[in-house]
Amino acid sequence: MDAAIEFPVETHSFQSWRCYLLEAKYELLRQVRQPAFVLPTLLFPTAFYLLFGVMLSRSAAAAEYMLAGYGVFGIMGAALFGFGAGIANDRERGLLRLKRALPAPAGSWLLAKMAAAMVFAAVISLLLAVLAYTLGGVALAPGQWLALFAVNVIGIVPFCALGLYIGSLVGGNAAVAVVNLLFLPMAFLSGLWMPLSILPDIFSRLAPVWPAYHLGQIAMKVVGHDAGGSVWLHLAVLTVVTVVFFVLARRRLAAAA
Amino acid sequence: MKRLTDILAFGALAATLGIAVALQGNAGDSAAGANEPTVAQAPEQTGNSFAIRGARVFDGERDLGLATVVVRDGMVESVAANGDVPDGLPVIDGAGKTLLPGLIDAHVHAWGDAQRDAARFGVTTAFDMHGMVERLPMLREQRESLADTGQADLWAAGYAITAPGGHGTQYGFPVPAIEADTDVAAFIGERIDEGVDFIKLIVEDMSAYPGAPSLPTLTPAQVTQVIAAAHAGERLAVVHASTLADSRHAIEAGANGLVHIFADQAADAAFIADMRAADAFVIPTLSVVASFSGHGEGGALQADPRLADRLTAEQKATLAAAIPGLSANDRLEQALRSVHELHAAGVAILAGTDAPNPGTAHGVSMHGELELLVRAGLTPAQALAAATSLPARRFGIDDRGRIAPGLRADLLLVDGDPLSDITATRALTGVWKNGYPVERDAKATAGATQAAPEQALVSDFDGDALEANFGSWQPTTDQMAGGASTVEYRLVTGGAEDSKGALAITGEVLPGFAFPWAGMMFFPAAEPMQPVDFSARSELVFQVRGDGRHYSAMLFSGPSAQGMPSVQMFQAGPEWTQVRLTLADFAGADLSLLRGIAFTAGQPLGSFEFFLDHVELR
Amino acid sequence: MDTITQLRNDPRPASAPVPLAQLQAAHKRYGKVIALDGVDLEVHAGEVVSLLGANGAGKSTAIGLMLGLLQADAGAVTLFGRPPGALDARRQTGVMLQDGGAHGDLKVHELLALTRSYYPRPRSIDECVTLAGLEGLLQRRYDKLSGGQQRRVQFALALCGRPRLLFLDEPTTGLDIQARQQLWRAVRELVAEGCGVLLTTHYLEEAEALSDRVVVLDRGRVVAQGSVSQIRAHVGQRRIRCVSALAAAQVLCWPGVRAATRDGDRLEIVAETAEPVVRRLLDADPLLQDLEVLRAGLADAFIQITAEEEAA
Repeated sequence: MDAAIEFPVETHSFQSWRCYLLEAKYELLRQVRQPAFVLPTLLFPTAFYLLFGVMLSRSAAAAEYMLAGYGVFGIMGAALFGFGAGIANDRERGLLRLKRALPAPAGSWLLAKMAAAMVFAAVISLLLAVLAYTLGGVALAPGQWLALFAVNVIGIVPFCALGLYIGSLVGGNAAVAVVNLLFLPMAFLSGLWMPLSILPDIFSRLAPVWPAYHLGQIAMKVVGHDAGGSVWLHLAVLTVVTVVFFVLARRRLAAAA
Repeated sequence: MKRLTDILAFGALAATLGIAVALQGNAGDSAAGANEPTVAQAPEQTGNSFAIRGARVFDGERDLGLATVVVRDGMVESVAANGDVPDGLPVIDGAGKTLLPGLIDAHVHAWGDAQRDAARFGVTTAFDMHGMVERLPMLREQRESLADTGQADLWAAGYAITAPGGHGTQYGFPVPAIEADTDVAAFIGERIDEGVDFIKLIVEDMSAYPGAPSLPTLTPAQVTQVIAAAHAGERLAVVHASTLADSRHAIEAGANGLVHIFADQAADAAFIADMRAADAFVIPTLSVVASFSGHGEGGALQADPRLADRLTAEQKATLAAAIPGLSANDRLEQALRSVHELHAAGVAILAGTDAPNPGTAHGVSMHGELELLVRAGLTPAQALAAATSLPARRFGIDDRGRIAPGLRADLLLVDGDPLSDITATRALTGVWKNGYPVERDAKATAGATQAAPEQALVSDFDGDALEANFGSWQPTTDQMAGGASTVEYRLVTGGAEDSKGALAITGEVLPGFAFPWAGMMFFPAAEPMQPVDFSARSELVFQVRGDGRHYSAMLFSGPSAQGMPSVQMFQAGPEWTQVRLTLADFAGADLSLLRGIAFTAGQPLGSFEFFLDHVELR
Repeated sequence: MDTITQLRNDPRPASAPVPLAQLQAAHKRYGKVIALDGVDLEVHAGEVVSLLGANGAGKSTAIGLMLGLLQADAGAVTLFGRPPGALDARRQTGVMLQDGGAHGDLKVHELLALTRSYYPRPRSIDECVTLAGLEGLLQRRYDKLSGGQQRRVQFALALCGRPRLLFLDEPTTGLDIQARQQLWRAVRELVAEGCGVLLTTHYLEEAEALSDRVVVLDRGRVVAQGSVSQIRAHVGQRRIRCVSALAAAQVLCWPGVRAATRDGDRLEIVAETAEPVVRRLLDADPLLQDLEVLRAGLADAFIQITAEEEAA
């Protein structure tokens, strides 16, 4: 092989941290510019929570349960739609190929998208907390509020992985359809909308099949309304889900370029 | 190769989820068990729907004349002059009677049976001005629920804010105090984080009580800081002060109200103007001022035949108590004059008793306070407003204090017309808390402590029925606190050390209450929670086996049936094992007033099974 | 045949010791389809190399290998003498892909800012605007632009990092004449600064206007390379059309005839030089009419070169 061509010094010393920031900033800007994404993502969980967690709920316990449930529901939407469907769209439009051809640091777009999803998760989490505190009469210890916020923001990761995999499988429109097919039933079957105990036994038994159930259980553990499973089990499942879908998606995306 | 990786990845996912289903099966099981859902459905309410017809209604602010009040599911549904009552509701005839909102005692110190005693005398809500904070979440839950508690709901200051060694630190429980170098804002932040509803400051150097040793107290600068910090935390700041000077400073520093009227001198014009300008309120607690003036009302209340029958021994004791070494003085006169002038100037006066200080008792003293307020110049209607709508409004409580649709059905019905004779409030014919009639008979909680029986053995479970040599066994779960846990028990053959039988306890700990529990409770006396003196015993000994879980032995004791239990843990392994728990190791337990011992499962949630045999108190 | 061989062996410019990008005996297959079958390709500083070939000839695969988007099954791929995935090598390149790709919901100045942030020494925004002809577009959203405007934005994104090597994959598709010429001017300016360019295009005139060298790919192999004029000379053949009763098979036997086909009453002949064949046609068929002689296009060049390749 020929000798490598010498580059100016600044090529090596160039610190590209700024492009991570810009990437995240513009990713967020892009999503904010899509009302069709922003409105449902923010309004669904808050409106549902207002209705079921505040107006139709008769106890603070229910408002707490639903605060945890709709929080996970909301951030799952942000991750699956913003991240998963977003990646499918970008891939369809050749953006991923371009990003890989450009000297963007590997994975910076992935981190940017995840950061944007985290911002949305944080906003959803705060909106719900404000509603719960002001209207729902939910009084939690500061540590519980913080823990719930952390669960919501960090909890997007497995769903980003799942979204990434969906985004690597199908194109933009199909991804939205697939996510819709998955999102609403999974939220329901994971007991994010209402306690599984009011449904037939089989729903409770099979709920652990859904990744959302495990994040939901962690959130509910924070407010003391979980079903009693070990937090390590939930974390383990979420970790496996994250790793498996990231690995699968990575392989598909590498092959598709 | 590629295929292999995909297959491995999906395989790992499937295996993990499969394991999760298998492991969670039990939890799912319990969530879907026969017992009822935790939160989505409100429990069926029966017995808290009724109507009162033909009574004169004072709604907390005004006299509505004769009206019909319909209560449904614990809430006032309608208040109407014409007497239509929906079909199917029980109707109470109010002819010749007056219906009032449940009374609010704006200054109490509640422990023991206080909440029950208050409710029995028509006080359905009270503001606790100094006490431990551990119960605050429970109090909050209780006052938010519409359950049949038969108790007054409490709003509480938690620990009153005082100086080290100052007033408030002498009651036998540790109280955090503000030192010279304490960061006041952070300190108050901690109190607010403890869940207090408002901040109460104690400014008391005893200078108002000649002859009493002086006490350290908060400096004026600290008072100002505490009030500012309370307001920053969006809490009211209310102040205990015994002198005009301290009261004046508190109001100037922005306090929302005074929880006593000072009695070293009468209010001067400048102070009254300050109070008006600040729109501050005062809870004069004339009942306790009367005690300090040597003119305590306790004796009169005890002697009133409308009240006497229902007093507990404890109430009688505190009513009869006097402040030692006190000579008659003109404190009450000064206080009445101050209240008169403050009231005339338009300053809000709230009724509070400071029960159970000497000469006062929970519930009953409210009726004395109302009379004292009238004596100070309030009309009976104003005095009643001071005990109902006004404290609710001033403390930002919007679900009670008046009789109006949508508000909580905390009600009292009295014979006669308290709007013309304030002492008519004592002629109670009915009290309702959350729409449920309150048992006004004191018998259930009264009684002197029994002596412990001779034998050590509680139960060997060898009989055909669940029996104890003394006392009784009963199942206990958190359902009484709004939880959903369940328990079942049965006697089985084959006990420890080849004895004939044992007690099997199974159930499920379900979500619904913050500290879930389910198990069996042993009550040593004939009546549940009646205290028995076991101070001569040293050990709780029993045989246990079970599913390997950890269980709690919870010992209920002390002067109050509502006290927190002391807990020791034990494990139920596969083989019969003798467990010996030293009674002295139950921290804080008062063995001379042992009320019950519960053997329960708690966290983690899920089903449980254990067996008890040969329970002894040695 | 000789010409082809000679073309293929055309030596590379000896001036540049290390090529900016290089494929050496690169092989790439997708399942059973061979995309590249031992391709050698080099791009040097200050030269424009045009990569020509039909769809599926392997152009995109070749670019994909050099950009590090794909891995070669065999052979060597280097970018600035490094593995093509190396970040410092990619920082020396600019890319304009055929299927475009830009965040439609971002404004042009945002796209530029983001892309510039990837490079250590980017061009100023003004410079990019002037070079790519983006005047008045900076505040517009990308997805609100016309196809031609979008193409110009993509070009600006390709050059904004001050690359030493530029990949332009059909850069002028959808551009009007004026915009196309502006782009050409810009490319020439960059080349004058020493930038190397790898260009794919359908337009012979584009290759002609810009290229120093042309490389023709077919079914994964380099079938010809040389200067534009060499290629042109090679495809100096003529296409002759007429209405004639002569049999195609008969005409095919004549010297200098490369192909003869019949379409209804029309005969179509491809010949190395037109004149001898026309003379003989007129002799052989006195009734011949509607005679046309056409110069071959780039398409004919492809057809011819690849046909020879097939024959060989």
